[in-house]
Amino acid sequence: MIRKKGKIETFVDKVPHWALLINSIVLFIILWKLISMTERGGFVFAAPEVILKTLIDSAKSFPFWKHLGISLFRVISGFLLAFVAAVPVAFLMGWYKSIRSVFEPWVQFIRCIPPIAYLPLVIVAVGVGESSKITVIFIGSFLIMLVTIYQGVLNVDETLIKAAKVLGASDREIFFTVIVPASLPFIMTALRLGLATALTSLVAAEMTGASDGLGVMIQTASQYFQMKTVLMGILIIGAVGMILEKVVKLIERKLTSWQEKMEI
Amino acid sequence: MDNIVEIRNLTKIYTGRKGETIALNGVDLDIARNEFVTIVGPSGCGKSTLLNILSGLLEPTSGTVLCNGKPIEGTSADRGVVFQQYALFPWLTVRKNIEYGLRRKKIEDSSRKGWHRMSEEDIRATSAKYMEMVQLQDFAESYPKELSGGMKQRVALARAYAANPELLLLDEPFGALDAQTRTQLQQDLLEIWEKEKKTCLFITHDIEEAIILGQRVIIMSARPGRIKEIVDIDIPYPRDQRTKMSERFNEIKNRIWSQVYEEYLEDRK
Repeated sequence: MIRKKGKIETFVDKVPHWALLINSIVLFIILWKLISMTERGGFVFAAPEVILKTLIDSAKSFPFWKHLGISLFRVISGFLLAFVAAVPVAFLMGWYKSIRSVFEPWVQFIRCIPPIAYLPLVIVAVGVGESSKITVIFIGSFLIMLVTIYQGVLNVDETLIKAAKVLGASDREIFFTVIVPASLPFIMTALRLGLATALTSLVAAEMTGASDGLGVMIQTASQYFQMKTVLMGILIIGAVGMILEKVVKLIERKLTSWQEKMEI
Repeated sequence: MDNIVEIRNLTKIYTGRKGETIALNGVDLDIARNEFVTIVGPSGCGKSTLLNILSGLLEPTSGTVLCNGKPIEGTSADRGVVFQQYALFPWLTVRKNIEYGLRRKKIEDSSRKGWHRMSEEDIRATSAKYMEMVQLQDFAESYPKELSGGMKQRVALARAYAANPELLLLDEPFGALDAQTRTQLQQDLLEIWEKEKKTCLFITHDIEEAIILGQRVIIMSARPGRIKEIVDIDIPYPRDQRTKMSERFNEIKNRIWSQVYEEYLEDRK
């Protein structure tokens, strides 16, 4: 896309990415500090240095690592199970119209229900153990990945399928050499959305009578009005999300470098 | 005469929500082995439908379509297609794109029983040969996104040729290219065809392109799609862009033009 750029825009374009990133972080911390200095703001947001101190103190204690570890375990196992289940179902839904007709309304239906609403059903069904937490994370993550991947399968360029056919490919070969690679960019998007959903349903998942986990840590702290621990928990969940997203992005760059990307 | 394609009374009717559309109505056509036939006609005259039926991607409504004396049933590697939209696999390199058909090919070998796949060396040698033919050997490991439109279409041409089909169907392959690249590719195709003769059915809406390439130009009329006239192009090969300046070329061009223009007026009524 070509459009005329203003003077400021041309200047900003020249600033390297890392410099903008540092600027963004510094500005954010200054803003945070300013808010924490006001009376009402300070009530909700503890100052950055207080949070840092809380983090350092917590990092020395065993319960903190236990919370973090168990939450990571729940998120990653729920997400991985969801991915393993979503891929075959999504391809079946994309490839066979009849399967799509049967499953699609239910997928769309369940997708609109917030996890907290079906929490009691999950607890009654699988109990209050680890499985209930993983199930809640699994459901949300599975549905979003399913929808994203099968939309990708549906969107495969028909000319490519025709090209494979006239080059003598069988249905099986078309599936593995055209449909699967053509859907890969959507699978990568699904991974990112699935991870984000897994993390966002974490706190709800840990409301199923857990005794540890980041969600529990936040819940307990809020009952004692320890806002600095609440804020720290939130920041950690966000940071974990960002790190996992970066990992997926790295894999994506390796696997789908053939893609034509829009250059801005 | 040795005909590779025999079409008798071919009719294709599309049934849509707005009723029936007759795309082809009683088409008769024979194509000789190793002949280069081009088809011109206004859009909607059913020329793409005809090509899709020959490739096996579409089924006729009635009539017979024989290839090598046998009715066409579905797609086959014996009938290659070059699409206007290139249709290269973006996740494969130029070489792998050209090898795609070769890797799916089943060949008969008298020294071994039954059908088997080509050996890796044969595949490599074949793809190398066709990459050289379209002068893309330096781009063997490039991905389609790194190529220009003209280069992409040369890869598509090489990919179709490498699979060694008996019949090559080209659906407005140069339609999306700029005038200069198009001229270049016409030249490339002429050279390739003279080096390695294949039966070619080439669809275009460019009359000059139809004449410079074909031994016969088929003029189709719109709604319902019929063959209006078949013009023999008695200009000897090798042809090149200078051929377009010859008197004979322009005579034929004017003749075809007036026919196509008649169709255009008819269509506007």
